[in-house]
Amino acid sequence: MYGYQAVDFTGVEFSVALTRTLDDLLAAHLNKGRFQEDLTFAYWRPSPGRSRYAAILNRIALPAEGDRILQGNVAFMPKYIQRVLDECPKDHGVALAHSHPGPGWQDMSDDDVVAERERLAGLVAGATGLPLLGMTWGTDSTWSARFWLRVGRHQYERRWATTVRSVGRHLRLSFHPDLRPEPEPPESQAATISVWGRRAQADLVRSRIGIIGLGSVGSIVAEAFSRTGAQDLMLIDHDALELRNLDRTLGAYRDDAGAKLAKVAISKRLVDRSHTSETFSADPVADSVVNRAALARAMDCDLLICCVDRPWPRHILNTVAYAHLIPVIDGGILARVNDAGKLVHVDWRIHTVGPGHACLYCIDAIRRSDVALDRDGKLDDPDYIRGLTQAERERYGRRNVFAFSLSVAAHEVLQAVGLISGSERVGGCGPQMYHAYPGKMEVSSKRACNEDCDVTPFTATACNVLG
Amino acid sequence: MTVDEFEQHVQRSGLVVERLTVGGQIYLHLNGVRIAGGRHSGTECEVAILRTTEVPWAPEAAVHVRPHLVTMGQMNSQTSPVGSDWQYLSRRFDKPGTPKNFLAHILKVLAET
Repeated sequence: MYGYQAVDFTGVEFSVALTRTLDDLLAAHLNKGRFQEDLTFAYWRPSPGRSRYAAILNRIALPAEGDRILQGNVAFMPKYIQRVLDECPKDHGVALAHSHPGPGWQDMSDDDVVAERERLAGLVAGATGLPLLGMTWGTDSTWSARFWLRVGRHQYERRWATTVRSVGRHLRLSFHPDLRPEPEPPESQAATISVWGRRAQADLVRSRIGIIGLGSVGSIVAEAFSRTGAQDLMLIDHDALELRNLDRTLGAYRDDAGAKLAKVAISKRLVDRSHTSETFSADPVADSVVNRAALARAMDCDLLICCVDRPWPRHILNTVAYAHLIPVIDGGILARVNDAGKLVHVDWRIHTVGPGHACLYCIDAIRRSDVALDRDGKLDDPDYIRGLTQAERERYGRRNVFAFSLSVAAHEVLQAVGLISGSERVGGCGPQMYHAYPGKMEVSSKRACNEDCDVTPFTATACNVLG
Repeated sequence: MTVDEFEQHVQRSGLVVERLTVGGQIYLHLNGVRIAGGRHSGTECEVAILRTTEVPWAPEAAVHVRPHLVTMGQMNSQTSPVGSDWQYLSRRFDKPGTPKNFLAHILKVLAET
């Protein structure tokens, strides 16, 4: 359990996330031009992964008249912080956000340090039980952030966040220049960089990408990111390879099936050899994301690629996308075969979920009753499956071939690049559905959830997804 | 919707909700649910709903009901893990998961028996 003592955070990385909507509100308040800084307090909720502690910013407490002094730089008055603490919602922390008149990741002035460390850190920690979060907005919309942890009596130390992510239609990441430095573009990525540019590539390769499911689609996605230049992959799958997986799992061999090798081990073996970045790490997690330990690993990521077909893990990841502001790229394949075993039709679809996008329920990519059935084990119960209609059995049939997976994997990676680069020229502009006959990709214009969506109310709440 | 929000909504609707633990599973136990249509219109029954804690709540669409309302095996009914005097009515619930929608689903399942 994290509090605000430095000792509780040994070996922990820090991060901050906010919705693009909140980011825009903050920017509108903080941006006073080149000659005037400004500030505001805000509230956040903790989103702990296994090795990363993130603050999910979810509310602004704007200053009222007389709450601050503006004279080029800016200072808050005691009554302002008192009001903010008095009104702090339960289980929330307090953040101080202020602006600097320059671009990029901002360091702190001596005055900034005094304000946060001396005036606020102890006061906020004592009142909320959570560390003070300090944030600085740069004129190019880059955020920098730090947490203040107690190291002794009246002593607080700064821990810089590695990343700040602003999550909306696009995923805008700010990286600490030392903790997640921009790499020199290697010759092995020259062709890739020639397409979407150095900026997009630098953001993509520094993002920690979690791939959930390393089967037919996931094994290809992992290889694609590795060759594209990703530096940090998290591979999560509880399954071991079987002979029946060999026709559609990249990098898998007959011996692996005999040895019942974990799918994450197979993918790791592949990407450890194929990566094109100088620095590279692939972390295999042989567990299911429906379990707390594996979910915590997923919550260490900046972006998740969902390559599982089961409704229960997809429901969980769908919630994580909104509640914890970790966007998810999801895909699925549906092949219909008639009673005579003849292929009738095949579709596949790819979509991005998270703030700024419609959720899996609102684009009809999963159904609530399927989620409950999967959670309760019914989809593994042959008696239950036998009692289903033909259409329902087809939905759970999981028919697939390697070529379908290649296509889904390619579009998942492209949507990820589009999300991070902000270029719809790469990732398209909406949920995609491909109909193999006659051979047509449809793009939905649906960009937001339905009004009665029961997922979006949890946006930026950092709720306990598994309860 | 969280399961707690559903529980509060049911209580606001005037029904008594208790917890029932069977075989390590916890159920919401709704007493005195009046059936509003069908063959059993006007009679009261007990309803049990599996209580899980994920957020948002993905409620089991099946309704466990006591006493049995249909001949076992008909209308997608099965034996219930809650007990032999209970009946499991296997149904689907795919509407947005609001407390109002889910309570309406339960009442509709009962009214269609």
